[in-house]
Amino acid sequence: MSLLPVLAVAVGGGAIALLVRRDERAAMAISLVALGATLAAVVAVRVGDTATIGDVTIVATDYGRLFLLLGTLVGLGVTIVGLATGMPRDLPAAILLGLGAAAVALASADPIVALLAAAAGSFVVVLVTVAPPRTAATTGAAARQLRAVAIATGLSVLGAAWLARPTGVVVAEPAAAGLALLALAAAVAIRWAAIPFHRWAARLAGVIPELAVPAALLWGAGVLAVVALSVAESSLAIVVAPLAVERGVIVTVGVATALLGVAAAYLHDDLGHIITYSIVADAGIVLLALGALDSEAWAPARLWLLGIIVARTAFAAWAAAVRAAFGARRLRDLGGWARRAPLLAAALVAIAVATIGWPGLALFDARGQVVAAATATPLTAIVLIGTLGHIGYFARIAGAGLGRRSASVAGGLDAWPRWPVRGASLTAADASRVWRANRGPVATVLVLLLAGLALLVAAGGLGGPPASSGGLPRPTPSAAPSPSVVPSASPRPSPTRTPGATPTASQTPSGSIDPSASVDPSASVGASASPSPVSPAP
Amino acid sequence: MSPALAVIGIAVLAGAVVAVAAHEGRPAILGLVLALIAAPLVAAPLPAALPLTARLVAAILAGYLLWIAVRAAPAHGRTRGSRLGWPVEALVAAAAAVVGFGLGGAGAGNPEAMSVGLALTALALPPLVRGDALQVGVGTALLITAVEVLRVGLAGPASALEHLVSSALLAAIGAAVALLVDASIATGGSLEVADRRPGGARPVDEGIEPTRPWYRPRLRR
Repeated sequence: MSLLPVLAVAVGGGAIALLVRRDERAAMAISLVALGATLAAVVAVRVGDTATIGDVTIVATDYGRLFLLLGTLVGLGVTIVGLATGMPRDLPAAILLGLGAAAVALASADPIVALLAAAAGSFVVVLVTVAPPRTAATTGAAARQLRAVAIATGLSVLGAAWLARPTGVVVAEPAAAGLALLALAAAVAIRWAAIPFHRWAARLAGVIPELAVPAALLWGAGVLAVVALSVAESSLAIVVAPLAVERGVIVTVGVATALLGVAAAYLHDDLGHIITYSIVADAGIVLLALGALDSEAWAPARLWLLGIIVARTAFAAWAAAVRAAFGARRLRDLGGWARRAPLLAAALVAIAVATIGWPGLALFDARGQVVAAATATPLTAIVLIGTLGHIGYFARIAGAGLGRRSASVAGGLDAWPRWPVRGASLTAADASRVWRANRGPVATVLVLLLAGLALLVAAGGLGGPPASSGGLPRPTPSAAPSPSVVPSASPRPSPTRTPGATPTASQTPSGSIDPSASVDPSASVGASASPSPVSPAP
Repeated sequence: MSPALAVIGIAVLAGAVVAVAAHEGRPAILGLVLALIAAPLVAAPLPAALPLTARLVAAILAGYLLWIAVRAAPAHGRTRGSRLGWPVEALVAAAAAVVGFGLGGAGAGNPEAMSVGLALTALALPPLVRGDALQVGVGTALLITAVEVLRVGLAGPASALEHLVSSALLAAIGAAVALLVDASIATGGSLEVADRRPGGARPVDEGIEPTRPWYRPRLRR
């Protein structure tokens, strides 16, 4: 099973790095080696490989592999940027352990195992929040983070357990299915700090370095969201009732989060808070995907998650590089930064393009499809225009960069490579001097690479769209609703009906469920559900 | 009702009551470890030996990490346990357990698990919102355990892989809470979460690591 080396290297490396954390150099060296080894192991993963542990099947899917590949690349980038700009001590170890948790979560055919693994990755990130320098504020923020992760884990596991009851009555119990959907959505909303559950994230943003914000707020929440979407896709999409009230609540919270998050990001002056609220706004799109409960939304939502995780992390790395260059992270102190650091300005433009995009760009279209699947016509336009509001804070940052030069920026150093050593020989002390003199250029190059990666994913590169259509492994047969209980169960009608759509593998044209369809554990959910659910044309 | 499962359930709840009601760190941790060790046994059939061993090791590891962290706390690790006292907590747990047993038919698992799971949930929520690092940790660990037990009650026994992942989750919680406790003692001298203390300052950027710029800014005066 080619996924097991990924697990062994990531978890082993992360655990060893944590154990030797008092020796920062050793921990960093171990983390870098382990991240490199994890990258090699992820590249070697063979899609379709399966392994059975106990009675649970682990399947290496295309989407899981791409998620891990991007996660490892981004983790390496963040670690090296952090080396150059400063970062919490345990961040690389937490990245490794998080990758291990994500490997299990995205490969497990049992949704509860997946949710527990995602939770383990989220709890590990609390180590980053309480890393030195420890203050009253970091302790308080860590306590809030711990609560949020605990409650989100509880809700998500309960929701999935309710759906996993092998009685199969969930198809015939819309109220129970609605409660399970609400539990899953609430878990994602709390973990991703959607409005009104965003206070813990706002507190966190003020006390942790910007480079740690995606780790604390986004990566674990992203894995949880992918798993929650998979659970909804496999267990809830065939519920007979429309679940109008539950979906209405989720979509309302999603719309509010998407719009208010953007507004909050625009209004803040501190780069850490801007990044945090931009991530909060992204939670709205995930909630819209969950609230849509529509096969039109699953694959675009998965693709959008991939792109936004890379883009936001690149944004955080950019902020860390700017702060290290000019010693400030408030816009009022960063006047003229773009003229002083044109490469960082180019990186910001790339990040903005990757985040916002334009019609035809994969990520832009994916966001549009999710919004269209979740909302009716007038609201769709409002939300889509609202999500374009991300332009606002990027423009504000760029405006500060082109404005009058502030004292901090005037005292900054241009991020061009330098060679402070004279003579041909290079001693260890010389190498250290070269590194110290070139931390700025190194961070800038890494930020540019991360921004380029974000652009590539946003454009649909690296096989994102087909991988997103594939999705995660199908739940084990006992977890799927039993077709024998409600033979006449029909898929919930899709708001965007396509008369010519072909039936899915698991659903016959009449709407009844084919009992033979839920046997193949190696098949992935999205693969069978990628065409829209069949419904008669009006 | 299975008498054996009932006895194990009572042991779990007794440990949880001690964990949330104790006003000293060490008894609270001992109670928590008892609850964590016994909770996987509230299942029929019992888990296999290997997953059970993993859960046992994880519970002891989590408890030991907390023990190390609390050791440095002054006044024997004085913690903000239940103000209502253990009898009230025990009664709350008993009431929730009765309700849970009544709901047992809702799932495919055993009703004892529903009973213990609901009682653990009722015990876990109050400490989760207390302004005390150890209590937040106790609440977190109990809540996750409660959910796992409820999951057994709803969907039947957990798989071996689920037990292994739960063990890793428990170890992660133990490490995170131990560091939180350590940070709380280092910053405030007690287990109280410092920013909850009356007058506790929460300035923005207070905790951000001092920047290590590539230059020393020449600020104009």
